[in-house]
Amino acid sequence: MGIVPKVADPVKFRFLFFSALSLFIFAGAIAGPYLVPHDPIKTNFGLVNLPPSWEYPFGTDRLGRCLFSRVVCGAQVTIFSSLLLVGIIFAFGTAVGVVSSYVGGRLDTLCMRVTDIVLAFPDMVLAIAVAGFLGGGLTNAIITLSCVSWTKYARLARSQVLGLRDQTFMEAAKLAGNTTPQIIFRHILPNAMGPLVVTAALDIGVMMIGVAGLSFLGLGVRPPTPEWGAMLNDGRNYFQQYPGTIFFPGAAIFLSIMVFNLFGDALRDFMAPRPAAAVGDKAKPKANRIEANV
Amino acid sequence: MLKYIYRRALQLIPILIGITIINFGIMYLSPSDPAERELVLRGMMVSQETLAAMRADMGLDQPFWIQYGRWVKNLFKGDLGTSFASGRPVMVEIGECLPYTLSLAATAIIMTMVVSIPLGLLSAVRQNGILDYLIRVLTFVGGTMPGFLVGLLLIYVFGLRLKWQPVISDGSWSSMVLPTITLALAMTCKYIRQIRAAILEELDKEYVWGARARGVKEKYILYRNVLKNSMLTIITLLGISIGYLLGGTAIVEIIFTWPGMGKLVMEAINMRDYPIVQGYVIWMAVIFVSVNLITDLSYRLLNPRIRLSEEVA
Repeated sequence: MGIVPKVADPVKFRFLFFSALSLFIFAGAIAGPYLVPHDPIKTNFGLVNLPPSWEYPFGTDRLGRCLFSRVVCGAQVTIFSSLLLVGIIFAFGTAVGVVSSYVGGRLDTLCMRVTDIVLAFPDMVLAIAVAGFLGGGLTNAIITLSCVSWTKYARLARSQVLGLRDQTFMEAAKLAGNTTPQIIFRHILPNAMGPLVVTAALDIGVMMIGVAGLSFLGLGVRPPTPEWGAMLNDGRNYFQQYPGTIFFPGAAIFLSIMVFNLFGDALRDFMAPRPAAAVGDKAKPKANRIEANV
Repeated sequence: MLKYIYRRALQLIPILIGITIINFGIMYLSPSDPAERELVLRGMMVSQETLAAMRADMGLDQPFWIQYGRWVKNLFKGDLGTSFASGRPVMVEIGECLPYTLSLAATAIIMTMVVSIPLGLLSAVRQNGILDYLIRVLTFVGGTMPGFLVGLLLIYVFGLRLKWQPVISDGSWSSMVLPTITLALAMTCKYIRQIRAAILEELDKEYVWGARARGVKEKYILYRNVLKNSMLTIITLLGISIGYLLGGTAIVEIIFTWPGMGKLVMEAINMRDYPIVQGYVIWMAVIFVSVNLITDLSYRLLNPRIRLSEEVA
């Protein structure tokens, strides 16, 4: 497939397009706080619940804060905490899965028992309980969601390693005198990475819903800090006066989750082994693949 | 089959023990001191001596495992402690709220089934047609919306603008419509996509071509064979969804002030009423685990391929 780069490769184009869009959102989230017209947490009781204007593009909320500035600054908290979360659960889950299946024996049984137990709680139920005991705050929300969501990666990594362990090249690597860390990092991880990376990409949106959901319940980011879920929670008691208080943060969270989900889908299709163009028309229709999305 | 049930039940034991340990552990490590709480409640002076005496009285000075054992023993007797806030047994409080949550979850499942099976089938039969394209786009959009956003938008449109529905639920049937839609939307969208994929895969199988070649009516193949075989996918999906449903009700109940478990636990968290939170987690985990067991068993019961191969082995 990829020896001569084809101009008209829709899968690759889609992948590049959504990568660019995701990067654009990241860049906006980083640069946002320096570019906004107003201080996102400065209240002004003279300007409460204003409709959109040139001065305040999205209007103002019940405390006279600039909604536009709040939505833009909120991107940073929601998106980067979700990325951090995905990073944590990806690294931890993969480490548990790879080590336990590579070592095997009792350690493997123990790790899988622990995963079973964590999986015995519905995600959000355990998250609510842990956040409830730990108390609110962004750090606690991240700890909470990490505790709940790493199991997926442990299971996936484990099944990947079990598929690789008995292959000939693994034996060759061992016979060549590689140490265990060398085998894990140079031979197992690169081969097991594919599905894990795709899962991680699709998890960005899931984690955003998690962070925003906890904040919405008042268990995540504390009020004056702009965060999309917390803003929705704040706006829901006042949106009769000015519906913009939920529409703008709602649109922001919806659009960014959609972009990250489309990016995840594109990445999955891009990384999936594709039949060469010659066999292409004989290949199964694309719609038959399993929908891993949301 | 019996042997399988037996084995599956045995596997549950370590999981149930794990659930209780985690649950008790969270409580044990929580920053609140029940002894101090009890002293304040009785209007006694909080000092080192009274605290120590109260701890000894309540058994809080004993090692973790002894406290845990006592807690589990009470659990088996159906005693989850008393609520800090109301002073009533946790079991009673939960017993009042659980039916509301379960009925909400049940209506959400029913709505999901009623909507997603026909639409998934339609989308698959009209593969790559306009209708299929439309359904795919809409399900993607619907699946992306977080539940809290859906709920707020529904309140805005149907509650505030059109005034069709009460904004605050009172537990009656008519006020259940919006919470049910909120809870079911993301699930319905996901199901439509999965059912579409499952039916397309089934339609591609050789027996379908065989039946067509023999002149069996397309409708007969679709309803009697393809749909029936795709049901297994739906059962698997249902098992996975229960976890989402039980967690998702919390957000929905808060938005619509539905008097269920989610609302109970959120209020309990705000008042640091830990026994209620603990009871909530235990109940949810037990429901989740048992529903998973039931879906697992019915999957086997309905799928002769797995059932028979096990009976032979």
